[in-house]
Amino acid sequence: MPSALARSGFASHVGQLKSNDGPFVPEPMTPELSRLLDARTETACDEAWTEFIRVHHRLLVHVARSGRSAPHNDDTAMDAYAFILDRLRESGFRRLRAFAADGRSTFVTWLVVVARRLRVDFARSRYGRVDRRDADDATTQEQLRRRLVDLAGAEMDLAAIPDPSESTPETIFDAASVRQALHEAIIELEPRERLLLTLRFEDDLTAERIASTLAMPSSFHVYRQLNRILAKLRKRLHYLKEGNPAA
Amino acid sequence: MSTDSASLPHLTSEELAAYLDDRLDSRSIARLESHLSDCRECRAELVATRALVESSIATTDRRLTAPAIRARTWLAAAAVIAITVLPLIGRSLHSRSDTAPVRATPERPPAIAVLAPDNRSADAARVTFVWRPVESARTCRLTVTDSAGAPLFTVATSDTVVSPPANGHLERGTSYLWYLDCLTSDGVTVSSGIRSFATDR
Repeated sequence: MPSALARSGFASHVGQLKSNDGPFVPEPMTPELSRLLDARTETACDEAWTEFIRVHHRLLVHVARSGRSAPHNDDTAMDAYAFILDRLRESGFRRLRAFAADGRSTFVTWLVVVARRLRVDFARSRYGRVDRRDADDATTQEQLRRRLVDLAGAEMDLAAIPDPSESTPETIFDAASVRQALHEAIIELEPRERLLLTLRFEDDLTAERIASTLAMPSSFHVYRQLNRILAKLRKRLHYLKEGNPAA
Repeated sequence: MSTDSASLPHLTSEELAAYLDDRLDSRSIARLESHLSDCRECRAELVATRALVESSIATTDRRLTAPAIRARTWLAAAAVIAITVLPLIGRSLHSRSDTAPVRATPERPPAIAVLAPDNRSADAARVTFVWRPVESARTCRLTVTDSAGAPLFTVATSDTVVSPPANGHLERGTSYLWYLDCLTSDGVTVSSGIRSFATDR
């Protein structure tokens, strides 16, 4: 069985040491959910649904209010709440049955995830989809590379880092080499290290926010891991300077 | 930092929830984190959902724990009194055992206080439905039915006074039923219960 901390949704998975590789034990269903999914008559189903809403309405309203427009517009939040309830109920509680079949997480965490997705669906159905990924990607990728070159090169001979303003064939070639080396170095990192790096330098999250997102104990642990990752990258770029990029 | 994992399918609700709860094995975590590092959309969802999970639990806990802590404090005090004082009192008053036990009344949603029309006759042309403001009510729905319960009209309002709509004609000398449901900002529905009134002849 998961620990009490894990069951509350605040589990910690720090570093690479994991203890989840044992036999899978599904989460037990909550009583109101069991009753709802086991209901055989329309009346029993209605009563179980009422009970389900009574237990979870605070959480669902909280999620419904979490959208960007909701804090200033309670009517919108209530519309979103109604939308979430409709979608949870449709097709014979299809979504809730998916949770019951999976059983890997606590129900509350799963409900927040699903309700938030439905909240996003509601906003898209009302306001349309805003998609700026393609336009933003190139910009942020470039910003990320520049910031990483700055940070990873902090202990290097700065003269070795090409000046992009001097667009001679040599500097263009050197800049491309550094970027290529950096790209390769990042690819070689552990998935969690890459995620940490991306959250910090691409998404520009604070260490505190990253600690919360990845369930790390404190922002201190984030800084410590980032320093270790940057040291790896510096080492890689140092080899580049020494003319040994394959090392 | 795009790699092939960016083209993998986005996280399912079940995967994301299990990741947030730390219920995945190390191989699944590596696969998900590889995708997360390359997929901005999933990363944004992870960040937002983690914050939402924490605030949701904090919100529900705040509502639940404060009364619970108070209740536990009173229960602890009551237990001390029960152990130390009551036996003494019991011995001295054992002949006076006619004190009725105090029972907690179950918590019930507050009813809406209706002012008019309430079980009285009213002028068919001037019927006005009035009730006291409901705390934190966002919207209310008034439903009027005939005496058999068949709906005649409904009116949605955020006010506490409503007149029948243009299509809500009421006959003279007829009995009607009506009720009010209000949705509060907490998502709770409170009801007036079914009321009745009759129009003058």
